[in-house]
Amino acid sequence: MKTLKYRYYLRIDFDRPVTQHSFTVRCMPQADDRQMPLQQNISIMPKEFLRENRDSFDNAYFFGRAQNPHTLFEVVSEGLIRTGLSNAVKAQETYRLGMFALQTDYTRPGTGLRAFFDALTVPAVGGSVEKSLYLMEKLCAAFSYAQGKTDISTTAEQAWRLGCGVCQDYSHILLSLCRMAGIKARYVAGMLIGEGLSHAWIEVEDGGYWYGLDPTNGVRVAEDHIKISHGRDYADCLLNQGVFTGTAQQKQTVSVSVEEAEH
Amino acid sequence: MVETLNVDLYDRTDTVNELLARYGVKFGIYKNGTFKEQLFPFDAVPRVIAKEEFAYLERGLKQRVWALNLFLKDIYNEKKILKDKVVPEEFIYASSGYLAQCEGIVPPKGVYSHISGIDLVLGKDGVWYILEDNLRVPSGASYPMIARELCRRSSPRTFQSISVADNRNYAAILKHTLDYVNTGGLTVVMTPGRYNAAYFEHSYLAERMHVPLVTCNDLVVENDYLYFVDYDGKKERVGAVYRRISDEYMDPMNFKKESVIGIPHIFDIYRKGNVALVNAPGNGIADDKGIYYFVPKMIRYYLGEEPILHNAPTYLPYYEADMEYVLEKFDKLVLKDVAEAGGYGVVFGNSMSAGQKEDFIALLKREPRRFIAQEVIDFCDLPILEKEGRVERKADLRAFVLTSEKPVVWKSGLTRFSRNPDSFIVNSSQGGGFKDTWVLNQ
Repeated sequence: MKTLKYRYYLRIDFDRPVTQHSFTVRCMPQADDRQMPLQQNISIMPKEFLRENRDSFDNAYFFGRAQNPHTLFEVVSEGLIRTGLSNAVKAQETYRLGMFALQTDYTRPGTGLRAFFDALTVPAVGGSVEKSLYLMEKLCAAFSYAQGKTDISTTAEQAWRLGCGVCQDYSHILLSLCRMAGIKARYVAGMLIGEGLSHAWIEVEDGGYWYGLDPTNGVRVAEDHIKISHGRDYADCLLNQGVFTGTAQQKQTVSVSVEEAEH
Repeated sequence: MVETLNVDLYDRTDTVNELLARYGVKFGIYKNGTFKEQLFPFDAVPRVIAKEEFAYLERGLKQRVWALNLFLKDIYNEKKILKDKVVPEEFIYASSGYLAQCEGIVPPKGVYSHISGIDLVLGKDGVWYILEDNLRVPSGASYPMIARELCRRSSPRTFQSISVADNRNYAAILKHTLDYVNTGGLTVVMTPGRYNAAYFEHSYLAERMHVPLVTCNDLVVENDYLYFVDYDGKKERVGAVYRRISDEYMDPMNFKKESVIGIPHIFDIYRKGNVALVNAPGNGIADDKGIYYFVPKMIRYYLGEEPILHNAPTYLPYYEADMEYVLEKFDKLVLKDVAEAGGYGVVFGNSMSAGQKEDFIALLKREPRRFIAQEVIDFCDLPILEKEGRVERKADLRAFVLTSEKPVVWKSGLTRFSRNPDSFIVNSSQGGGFKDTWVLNQ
């Protein structure tokens, strides 16, 4: 069990004023069996209104609009959270989880991933967690971390062919492999101890519980991860979305810091 | 009897068509990237349905639509039908009509399919068959509405001598359906705009209901509510939106982000129960070609009743017994790709060469879930008036079922016919025309 202090900061600079900017942000960690927020604060500027809601995956989100001309949009989500309360999160009944067994546009394997999977010998015995750990190990041995080679639209198959990518790519590939093995698996967006960007990993269902696996680091999720949201793939877990009126170019900067709180 | 009395009306076909043109009864089509509007040719010979026969259709349609509503509520909430394995999970989650965004949402008053357009044909065996359910944005009611109006004006005698159920109450039924789910505020008709194929219908229905016809530019979400902004900038709350725009384009924050004809955050406040969207988003899962097969099972499952109206006999190669049957009777069947729409992905077994057939069967065995197979229904022709005289053409019927407290079947419907003597395709974009549908009072 750890108590972590986190800060998620998003800033979008527009090179000329924009108006009628509608936004949705999904960047606030929530309570579940594994983590418990102790203090939370979110601030979004500018805004004419801001409302809270939960999406169909039960992720908390905020939506609102900045109507007047602005060239800067900022989001700060910060707080204190206790993690590692459990190693798993209770899942809904199996018949409700069918969507996590199916590939999505991001995870659907092409010939490359399909061939990689076919050459593996997934353990015939054992639960989904053992099988997924095996798949993660094989993935980590065959794929390497590199920034700037892939982007947010890269699919699992495309990243696999490049041979390298970031946490989003690792997660999509592992989702693809798990689903090929008949394991129900979902994408998780969150934060990891240290300084940097937001993070992504996956959860697999086994015996009525979801277990976290972080393929980028080749580890099981324990105390150092703060979960924000989950869904079928990246598209369900966007940390921020926006539409606005104007022809501005935008530059987005994200910085995340997570550290153990002093007692 | 109807035949002889109608002659006066038939003589006035041209007058009616001229009036329809003057009133702008058109539909738009996109051809090679340009928008063109065409008149929708009207044929004065009505489809006539006897009182008892319509009463039978009415019972069957109400039953079907009620079951489809229960199915939608179940699929996006409890999922009992999946738990009990009446419908296999993959048919739901792999369907493009299933929208995960709608999980856990119960729309105002629990109504999903407020306006259902159910397509039927009358087989030569005298049996009505359901061809498809349209539960998203079914169009077409305005055509028989205005045609009846203009026919009555052109040939009042006809309607004095024949007692036909008045179909001009559609607007009133629709208004009630919308008001029933209204969460407080205005009821509006939302159109994608002037260049939509069914713009005439949008404007006509709004006019007949005396409610504002709006586009995305007139609506705005503020805090947790939707507002109509008028020319003076005055805002008025909206409680029900009859949106004639597909789910994907409705809200760029929740669906296709490139949509410029949607309203940002409308789905977020719908999720909170603060506005009714008509029909409910996510309905595509219930009118999917693969799901069609399961509708009779749904009726038994949810209502504990035998289906009154029949599906065209349909087989799912997904099931082994059905696969065997399909392979055996391949040449007698029509095969449909469940992922395709608008007449694409439909092949007749007997039209394939030996090689094509072999390839198709290999594909069918590889992806059995992707296809349904149906018996080819030989459906009745209806007479139409052409220059050379009366000729017989294929026709179908779109019945409209409006659901508020209970489903109500509109005593009319859109009868579409093919002008091409060899065609079974009655779609308006294929150059077909339409007829009024008369339900007799006696």
